[in-house]
Amino acid sequence: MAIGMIRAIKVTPSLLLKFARRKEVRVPCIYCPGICITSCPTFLESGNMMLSPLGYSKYPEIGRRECLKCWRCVPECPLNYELPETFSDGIEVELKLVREGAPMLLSVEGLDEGYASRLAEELNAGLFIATGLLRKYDDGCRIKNLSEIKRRLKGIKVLSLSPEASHSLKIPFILEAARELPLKLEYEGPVHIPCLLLDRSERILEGLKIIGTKISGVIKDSCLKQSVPDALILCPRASTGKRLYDLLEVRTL
Amino acid sequence: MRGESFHEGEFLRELEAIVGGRCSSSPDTLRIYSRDYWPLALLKEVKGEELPLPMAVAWPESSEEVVELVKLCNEHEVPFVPYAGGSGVIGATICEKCLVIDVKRMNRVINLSEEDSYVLVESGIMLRKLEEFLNSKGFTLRHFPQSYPEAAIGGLIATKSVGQYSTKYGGIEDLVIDLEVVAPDGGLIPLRKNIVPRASTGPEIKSLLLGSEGQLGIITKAALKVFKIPPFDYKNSFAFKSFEEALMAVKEIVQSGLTPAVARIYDEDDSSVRFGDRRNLLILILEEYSEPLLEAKVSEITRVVSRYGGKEAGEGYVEKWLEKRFDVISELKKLVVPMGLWFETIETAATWSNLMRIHSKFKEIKKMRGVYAVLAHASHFYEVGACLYFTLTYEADERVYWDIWREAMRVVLENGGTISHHHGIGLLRKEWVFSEIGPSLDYLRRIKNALDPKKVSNPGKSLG
Repeated sequence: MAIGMIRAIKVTPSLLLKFARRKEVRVPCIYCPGICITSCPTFLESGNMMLSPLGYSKYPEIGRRECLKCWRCVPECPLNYELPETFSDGIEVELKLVREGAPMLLSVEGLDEGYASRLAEELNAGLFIATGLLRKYDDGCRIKNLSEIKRRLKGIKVLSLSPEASHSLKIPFILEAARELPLKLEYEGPVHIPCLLLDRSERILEGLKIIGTKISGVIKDSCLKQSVPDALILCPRASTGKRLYDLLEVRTL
Repeated sequence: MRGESFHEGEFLRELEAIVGGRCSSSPDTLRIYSRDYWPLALLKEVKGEELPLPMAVAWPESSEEVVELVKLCNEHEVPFVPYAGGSGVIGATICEKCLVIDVKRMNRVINLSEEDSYVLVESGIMLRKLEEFLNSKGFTLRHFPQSYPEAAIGGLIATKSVGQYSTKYGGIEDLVIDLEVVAPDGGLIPLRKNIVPRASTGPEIKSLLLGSEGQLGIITKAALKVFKIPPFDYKNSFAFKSFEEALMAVKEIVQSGLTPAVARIYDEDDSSVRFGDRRNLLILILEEYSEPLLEAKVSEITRVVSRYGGKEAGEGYVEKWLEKRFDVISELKKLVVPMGLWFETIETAATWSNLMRIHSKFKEIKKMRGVYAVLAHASHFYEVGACLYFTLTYEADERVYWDIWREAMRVVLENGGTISHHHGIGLLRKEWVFSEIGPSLDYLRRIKNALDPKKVSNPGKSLG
């Protein structure tokens, strides 16, 4: 602590004792007025404080059920507190090697394996399948063995096919590597940027341009778990709409 | 209040019918709505104390639904309280066994007139959402209170809020052109039939509602002045030997018509905690629509500042302030709460001749038992004076809390300051209102009695 700062404080023996005995705050949201609240889709839709990070932090069981786990609140928090991963007990994620190749694609079990398997074959790429990872975004929990997984992937060129894998493992989304892959997509119209990839919007838009799409508008302020807009959809979760996964083709070289 | 024939179940059934099921009386929801961001209520909650619970919460979607809800409350003599962002710091929304009328589903932008520079909105729109919308059209409300991320328009008006850019753009009272209000008896007080920049058509309902804190009905729509986004700005900070010299410099700046958008003077204690620099720092932001005008003002301001001994301290402090200005959680999480301490902010305003006396006497609160820090800055400047804003850290104990408040109110009242510049009254300050405004409080109570014969509009606060 700087000397100037200490001079601003009345330092007493009891204050020093408090400093020595200070306890970590586990859930900062309890003390917050809701700095992130305007980013929360369930709050914006309902107007209900209970269906906001303030409610979810106080009642984790409601968070587990109602929060969309879109992670939009996290970058809004000055502490970057990851509230959505506190609703359930942590999980272990397992990486299964399906086939060797370069680059390696990473699919999430229960989300995109069928599509990933087909694309890996067409690109002559390798394939990992991550099991258990989806629970982070369904139930709201942390990945207990995250550093172990990251260690395993270190030094390997890995691309994800879902926002979930990109977000949790901090690996590039496939469109971010568009320049290096023989992909094409004939599409003209708006695109929806997934909540989990908002910080990568520019690279994704660049990737879409490289593979031949003509993007006329960018939708960033809605979550697919609430409604699917009439736009190009990059989330494999969406069961309807113009899905990247149905439209993407591999160019023959 | 209510008669013996009152039947809660019947009230709740009628409530549900009015809002089509958009209501709740679940204990969890009532707990979430049992307080705003009043530090004392939060302290009680974290210590496990049960706060007074409302009876139910409703989320109307139109002024017509609000009318029906308020009429229902009158019929059953059930008190009600409007609720917007919940970011108030004075306990104004705490209302036992009342119906909380949360207006946040009434969040539409009804009309933006780019030609006439005003916007008409429903009162539940979040300030940040409104600002983002306006920015997308090249406009701005330029209203940035610290609660910017979590406040809604209706609450800001009902609290009589100011934003950090108020020195140039004014408080919320300067932005409100007109209001639609549901009166305490359920009557709809509509917007005027015209939007005009000013009208001499007798007393205005909007003036009554500004700062009314839910005691005189529910604000449902607001017409607000907006500005084109200013294209030119200047940011700098200056260090002064004394807080007083910095105040004198800003007084001359403001009284010379050089009005900055933002001016904030941090005393040595506040500067050292916020910026790690133990000097009296003045932070300045100027915004203009013409570059030559901006340059001329900067040149004049630099001359004034220099005459009072101000030394340039760079843009870095301004950037740091801009980055942290809505962050109320970092210090709480890192230091205050872990050490078993608590926080409070107390704002006052006074004329220039009283400011330094209030500053020095208020700082003596630090000597009180259980108080560890009293930081101060001046912000929100006017031709006749300024706001002083104190941030206190103290023992997380209710007795210490009230000792501080009693002493703080004594200091400001005995030295010509107001008990509140922009946070409002609520439950927190109600016992000191008469000391400041005297018999006019009685006249305001008579107005409330006339408008609210059943005493249902947020009762138990300053107006009775």
